Amino acid sequence: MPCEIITLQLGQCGNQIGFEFWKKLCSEHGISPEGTLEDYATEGTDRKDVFFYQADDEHYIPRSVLLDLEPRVIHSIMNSPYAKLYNPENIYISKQGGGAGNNWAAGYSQGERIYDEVFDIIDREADGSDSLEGFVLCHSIAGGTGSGLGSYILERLNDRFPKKLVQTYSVFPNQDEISDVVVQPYNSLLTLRRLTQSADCVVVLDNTALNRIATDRLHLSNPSFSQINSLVSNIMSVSTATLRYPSYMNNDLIGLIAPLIPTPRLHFLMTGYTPLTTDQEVASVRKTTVLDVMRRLLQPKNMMVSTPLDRNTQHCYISILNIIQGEVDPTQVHKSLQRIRERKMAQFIPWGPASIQVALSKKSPYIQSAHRVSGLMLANHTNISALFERTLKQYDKLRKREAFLEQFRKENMFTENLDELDASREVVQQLVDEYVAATTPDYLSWGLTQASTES
Amino acid sequence: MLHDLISAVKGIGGDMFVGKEDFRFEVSNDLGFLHPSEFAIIHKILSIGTHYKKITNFCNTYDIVRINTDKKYRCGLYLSSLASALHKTARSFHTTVVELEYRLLSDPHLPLSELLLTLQPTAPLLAALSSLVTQIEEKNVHGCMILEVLHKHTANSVAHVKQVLMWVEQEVHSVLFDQLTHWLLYGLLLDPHEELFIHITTDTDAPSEVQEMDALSLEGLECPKMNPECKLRLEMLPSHIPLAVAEKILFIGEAILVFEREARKENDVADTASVSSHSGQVLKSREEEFKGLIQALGQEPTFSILQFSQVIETVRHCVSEELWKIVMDAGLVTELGNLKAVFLLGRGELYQTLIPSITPFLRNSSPSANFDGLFQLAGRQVLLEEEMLEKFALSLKIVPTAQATPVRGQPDKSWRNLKLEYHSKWPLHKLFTPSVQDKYNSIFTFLLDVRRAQFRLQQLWITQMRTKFHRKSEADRLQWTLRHHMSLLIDNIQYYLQVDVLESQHWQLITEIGKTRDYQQLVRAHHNFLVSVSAQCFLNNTMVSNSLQQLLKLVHKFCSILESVFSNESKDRNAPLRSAIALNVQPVLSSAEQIKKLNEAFERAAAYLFFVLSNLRLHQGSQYTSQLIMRIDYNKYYSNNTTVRRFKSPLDAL
Repeated sequence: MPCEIITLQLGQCGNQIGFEFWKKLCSEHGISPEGTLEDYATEGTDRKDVFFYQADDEHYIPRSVLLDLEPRVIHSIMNSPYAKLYNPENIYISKQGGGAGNNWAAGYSQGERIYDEVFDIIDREADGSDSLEGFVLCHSIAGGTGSGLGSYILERLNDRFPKKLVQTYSVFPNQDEISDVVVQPYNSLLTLRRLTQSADCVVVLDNTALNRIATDRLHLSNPSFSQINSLVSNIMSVSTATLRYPSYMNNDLIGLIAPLIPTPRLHFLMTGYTPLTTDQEVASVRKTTVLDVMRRLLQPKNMMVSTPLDRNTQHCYISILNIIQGEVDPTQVHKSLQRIRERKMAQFIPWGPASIQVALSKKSPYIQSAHRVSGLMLANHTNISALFERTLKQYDKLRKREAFLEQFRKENMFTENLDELDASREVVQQLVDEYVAATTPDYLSWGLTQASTES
Repeated sequence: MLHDLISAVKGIGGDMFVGKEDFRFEVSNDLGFLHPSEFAIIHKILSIGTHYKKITNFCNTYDIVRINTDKKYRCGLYLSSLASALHKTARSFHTTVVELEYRLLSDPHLPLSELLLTLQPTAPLLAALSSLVTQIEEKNVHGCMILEVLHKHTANSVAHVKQVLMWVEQEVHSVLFDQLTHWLLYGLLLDPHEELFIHITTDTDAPSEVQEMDALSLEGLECPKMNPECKLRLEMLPSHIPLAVAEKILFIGEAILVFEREARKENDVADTASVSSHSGQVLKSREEEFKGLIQALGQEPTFSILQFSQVIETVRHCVSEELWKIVMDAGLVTELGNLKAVFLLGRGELYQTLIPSITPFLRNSSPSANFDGLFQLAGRQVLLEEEMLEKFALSLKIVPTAQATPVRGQPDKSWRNLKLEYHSKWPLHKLFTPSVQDKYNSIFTFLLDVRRAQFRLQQLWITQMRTKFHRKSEADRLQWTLRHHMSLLIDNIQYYLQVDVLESQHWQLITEIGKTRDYQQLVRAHHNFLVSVSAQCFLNNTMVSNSLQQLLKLVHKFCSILESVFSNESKDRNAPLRSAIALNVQPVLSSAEQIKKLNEAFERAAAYLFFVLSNLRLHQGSQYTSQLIMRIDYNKYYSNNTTVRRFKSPLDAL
């Protein structure tokens, strides 16, 4: 079947958000934790086949590969009610079991060692699909496994499946609190290079913003992991809604992301979701119109990426896709677009055509929602460069002091020199520069002068 | 002599008053004992006799009792009922004459003037009737048109004559009411002499002459015998019955005919349950009521068109509402949804699968390919509901071309020949006639073209993404920019079509259908839906549609060039950028140059489209034009970068 997607969940964070994602998908498609169809799931118009395949015995099995270098999170998944959902052959825990020790280099080099075993699983899964469209990778860029092993797998996926799309959901570390991972800036930088070079589309999930939303908007004083992760899984499920519910457009991954990405490197997407509520709040039903939803999506406080206000550059949207779910009068879409345009609520790039694309999508019939209309925004905004700049700054601070580098030097890649770090910094710096250049009218020629000086 | 005169008045000529061929009498005054004054009186009396003779002659020819099998005489229910009515009217005259004869017997000295005096009052009536009869005879008036003649005569007459004529009219109208009762209540057309203004043709040779307003007509479905075609016969429609009323009458009967009686025939195997629950139901509960209404109409002394229309409207409303229920019960909304899903590309993933699978067949222009098979396969792949899928069939309409088709064919042209067919079951087949499906198909062709352009551009995106670190050159950058501009334009057109046009119109259609509770309104709503969709797809606007076609052509050209470049590259990575020789498009140019040219052409075409649309908005001010403009020019890139600036009025600078 067309547009099949294999999900790879890597490391602690990747497996946790992956777990929440599958929980969400199961409930939306009316699939029980054991993988069987619930009795009430009688509406056959959804496309379960994008993320699940049907085993012979009427069980729905996720096209999902679970990888980790330490057993803790995967074990907790295997002790949950959803243990029987996954194909046990698709679960891989490194035999060492020691993890990557929050070290990118350790994760990366372990990837080289377990390459055969991991790609046996991925190849088998790919062969099992009729027409695989691509991979979705869930990971965090700060730790060891998600970032290091993730980077390695990203590179290999490109070699092995050159015609398949690779989309990632990458969790960026929380900047507001002091991390227990001291080498976080190194990890982030090295992963960012791979995300820039080997991924087709990166959906940025900024833990800073997620925590802020949890405390400010959801009024949770101490947001738990699972509460944050359910936010993430919500975003993941809505952003794939047009794939899973038949509609007139955005029926495959490429149709979803290609219009958002006009030039190859600017493929980092922000997300926004509204209305944001917790389970306890569901009772208070707010009247929501398409315009309300679309306007709120443009407010920075609903964005899942926290970006500081940058007064030097006129940051702007490169592209926007809004996925609106629920009972929507389609004539309202035009009116809302018009209003947003008149009020200049969104600033667009000066160097080419751009617009807000609005996809109307169905909601799962099995989930009762208090909200008539809800919406997700996928946006390509130049301001995301601020996030990378922050990483660069933190990296520079550490690097100046040559701090914590001995852990890295233990691995082959870094024993002789630290060129890899320098090269990565160069790539990320270029990325930041390109995003900044995209705010100016002569962005198109910027790329060219850059290219000519390089060659 | 007076006896002779009286028998002449009764229409029997004698020696003295000789009856002539044309019913007139001639007085043979050979003996000359008639005084000139008597002569004048006799003439007056005789003219009455002439009228009477004419009338009786008419009555005798057409009276119901003596229906003539002879071909020389026309026959018909209206004629005979008129004849018998006239017969009854003439009887009063007859009794007057008989009374007169008695008086004459008892009083042989009755003066001639007394005769005139007695007969004179009947003269105007007889004159009127005889002129009526003459007109009908001479003009060969037939069937319902007798009503028209009669109605005109009634309207033009006064006093006693009017009353008598009204009675006659009522009598003859009763035939109409009788026929209408059968037609309106049971869908039976009892019209052996083709007198009614409605007729049923079972031949299918001339489906094209169906009138526009006759939205309900059945045309050329599979089995002609099963699908009689009901039409109005305008030449038989009396002018005092408005066309609108006649159409309503046609609709009611036809509806009953099709939805009740045919249901039994057509669906005798398939869902008999639903049919048996419906058949005969259209009017069952109110049949008696309507019968009474029509009978009451027949008893009215005057034919009032107002009352007539009201009764017809009552029946029509009831039928229409019943039909609405039947159609809604038959799942019209789902069915419309199906049509939207397939004809109007509502199920994007179906075409996402179909386009790549069908492309190689169209490229080699192999008409023998099983397009429907591919379509069904694609449908099954995306898990389309089986019962919905099997109602559709895809085929390649083969256009006979004079010259032998070139080896490479013209794939873009053959895409336009793809046709979808939809098989709908009773009772919805009346809504989705072939002509309606043609409209759907023309929209489908356009939408498919846009969709295919979008699909190809998206596929290029992956290939471009994969080469992103291999080259960094001006040509490469241009490829990206051009592809991006193209795909944004196409995407925005697509969003406009799907959201602003199709979703919105479909939404309106469904709401309207749900509200109306009237079948005819429903048909109209569906018709309006199709009209406005094709208008908003600019199918009828040559300027815009040409410019859209031009854009699509450029997009396809661009895709073909890049596709061949990439496929060459993947074969031989080290070779320099090869021109698309296989394409035979100016093989001298390298692909980079071609793309440069394409870029210029595309920017021009896009600017031209924008210009045409802006002009259209200025002149027409239609909402959908500005919707499309807003979609493609959301960040005002085009309005800032094209010559259109000059044409914009300051008011427009929103």
